[in-house]
Amino acid sequence: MDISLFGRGIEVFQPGRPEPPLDASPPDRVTLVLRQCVGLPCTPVVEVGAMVQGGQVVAEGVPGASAHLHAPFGAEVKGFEEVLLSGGARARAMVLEAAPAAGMMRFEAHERPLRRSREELVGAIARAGIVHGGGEGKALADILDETAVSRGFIAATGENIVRPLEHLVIRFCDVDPHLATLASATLEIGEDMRELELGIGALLRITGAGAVHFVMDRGQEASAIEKLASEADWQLHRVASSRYPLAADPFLARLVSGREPPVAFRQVHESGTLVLAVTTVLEVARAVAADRPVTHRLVTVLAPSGRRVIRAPIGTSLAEVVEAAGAGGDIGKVVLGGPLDGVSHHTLDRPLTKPMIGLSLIASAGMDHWANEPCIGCGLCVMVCPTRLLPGMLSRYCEFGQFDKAEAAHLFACIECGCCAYVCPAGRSMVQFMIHGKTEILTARRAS
Amino acid sequence: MDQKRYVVSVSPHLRQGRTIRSMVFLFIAALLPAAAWGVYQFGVPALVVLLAGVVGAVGTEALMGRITGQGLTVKNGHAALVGLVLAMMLPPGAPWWLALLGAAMGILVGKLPFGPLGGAPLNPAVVGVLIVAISWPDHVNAFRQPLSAPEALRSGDAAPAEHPLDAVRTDPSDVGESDAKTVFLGHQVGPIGGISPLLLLLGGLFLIWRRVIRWQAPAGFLLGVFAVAGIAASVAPMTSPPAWFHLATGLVVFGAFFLCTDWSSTPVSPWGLFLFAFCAGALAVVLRMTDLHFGRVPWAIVIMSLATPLFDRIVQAPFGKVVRHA
Repeated sequence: MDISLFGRGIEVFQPGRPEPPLDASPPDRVTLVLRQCVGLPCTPVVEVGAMVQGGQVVAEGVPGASAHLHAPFGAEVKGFEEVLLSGGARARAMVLEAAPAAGMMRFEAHERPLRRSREELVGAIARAGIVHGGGEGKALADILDETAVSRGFIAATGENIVRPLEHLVIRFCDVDPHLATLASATLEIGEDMRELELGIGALLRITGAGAVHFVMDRGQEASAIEKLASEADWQLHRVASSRYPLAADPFLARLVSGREPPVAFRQVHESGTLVLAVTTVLEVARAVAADRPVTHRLVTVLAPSGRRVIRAPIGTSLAEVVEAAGAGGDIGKVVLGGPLDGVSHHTLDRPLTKPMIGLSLIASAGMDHWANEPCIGCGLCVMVCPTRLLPGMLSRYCEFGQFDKAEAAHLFACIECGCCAYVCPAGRSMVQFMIHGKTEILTARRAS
Repeated sequence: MDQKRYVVSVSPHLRQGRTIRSMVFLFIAALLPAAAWGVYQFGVPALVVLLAGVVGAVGTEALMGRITGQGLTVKNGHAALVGLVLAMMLPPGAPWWLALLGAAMGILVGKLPFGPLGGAPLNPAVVGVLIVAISWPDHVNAFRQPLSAPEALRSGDAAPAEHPLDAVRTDPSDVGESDAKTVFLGHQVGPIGGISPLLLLLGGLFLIWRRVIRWQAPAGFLLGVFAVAGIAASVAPMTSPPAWFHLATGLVVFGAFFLCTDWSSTPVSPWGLFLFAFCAGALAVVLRMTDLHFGRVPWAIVIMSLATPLFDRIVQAPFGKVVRHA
């Protein structure tokens, strides 16, 4: 029994109401990182110097391990360069320079997209290069395959067991309340429900999910979506998304299924609930309706001067995205993602990639320092921890190298949301300790 | 290529801005109304005791910080908090040097040997007050009648003021004379900081609201006191005072909100904290039935604190963890 009186998570100030997205002016060149999500890098299928049409496949993903990559506009392939990703990994990237003469591909609309077979629909999603966001991202087609194809370790019993999806959850609000990417996309949908309906229809046909759930913020206005939900007998859940991180996948899975999915090393979809962002559903709709690929991305640019949601081609330099948002000032830190769980990056000279949902710029004056004083045992972190851990205790174990104790105290149930560090009066860099402990344990395991 | 390099660090990149110092100062602020009420009821001597406690604790920690090269650790205010809490537990008739010495001992024995803030296994203020209670038992029982008591009781010829629980023990009919409301509003004989359950309750609720302390501690403690006192009162109504009397007198409310909630000496796990406080409350009532005359609530808490590491083993299953029932 959980005896947390105030509820878990942290209450976060939301900077203003969401606005519809703003289209960035198309850049002169884009840098397409060949490794857009977890898995293997894509293989280029065009030569240097070739002219490519907008929407054309320029690099193919490995089935089961990555997603296709497309040119966002008519362009010339200039060559390849190396990009330093956050986390220190280097990745090869293809540089395209805009050549309007090459033009855009024509996409033929299918007569009855939902009549296509399941394999055809998954194939369309795979060819469109859709990446399921969240963390590093993963190719959506691969996830859909995992949920509907029997797997060896289960089939070893002799029975061909498939673990189907039970719940399909569409998220209309952002996990980090500082961002407004999904809220803005929801505003843009407005009254036209056709794409949303088509996307959900396709996903239902592929996954065979029994129930569809919409998750919106309490304050979000969307009468058309409410109407759609009630007509189709889909459930609409209102959550207080200002309470971070309770709109994150594991907690939504608990909300709709009543079961808590295991969080260590696993993706939530393995427990029978697939949580998708509304933007991903729209991409699915475009993919199955006319084989339209993913070439653009919605990102929230959160700056000290304000918040804007920008639509920019994948591969655009982040500096240009920031410019499009009109953000400036004395910036001290660049964070890929929201300020609560994003990863800081050392430069704005990095291309936009598919899993990105936000870009937070922290003013030099607003940067905090980790005091890292000893834990005083106040228990504030215990009050806010959404996974019911004792973060203070774990951080002490990891700090002093007692990794076996940390593991026994369920270190791997930590989702690194950062609530504990947010409230810690001793200024301890809690997430750092957790990651350090996990890395040490995994390294030791690999060595043995 | 000329480009700006930005700072890289671990997430989260925003913080609530809470510091140890701000938490300690909220704690002190929550104690001040009850302390001020004590000063009002008992006059200047009580104020001198409170100040002596603070000076003793801050002075000792500053001096030791200088000697040991730890720097000025008193800046976070915790030493002042220890001194204030200690002085509030003393009776109004205690001499000022008792508070000074108790605070110094609390810091020297209860806090500093265990390293930086957060290491102390026992509440330093309680350690300090128990040391002086054992050393000078007469001085810690020097109770006085409050200003609001009837004139007859306050005159020089009247019998010396007795702690209400001791008064009840010698004459069980005493309960009838003090009704719950006046006692709760702070018209009673008791320690400087403990005579106003109302102000202590308000201060404690303020701390819970500002998330400086956790509700599990006071709830468990008061429940423990209520349960054992209630059982005693129903089993032996002639010799045991009613449960409300236990709740409203002495250091019970003070202990529930300001001693059981000490950060380092209490469990961090929610259930552990609740059970810890419940046991401490129960133990306090049991100690009140013994011959012990001073420090029954502090003793109960300090004894339970010894078991804090055990209570910290009572943890909830983490999110998504499948609990196997064998």
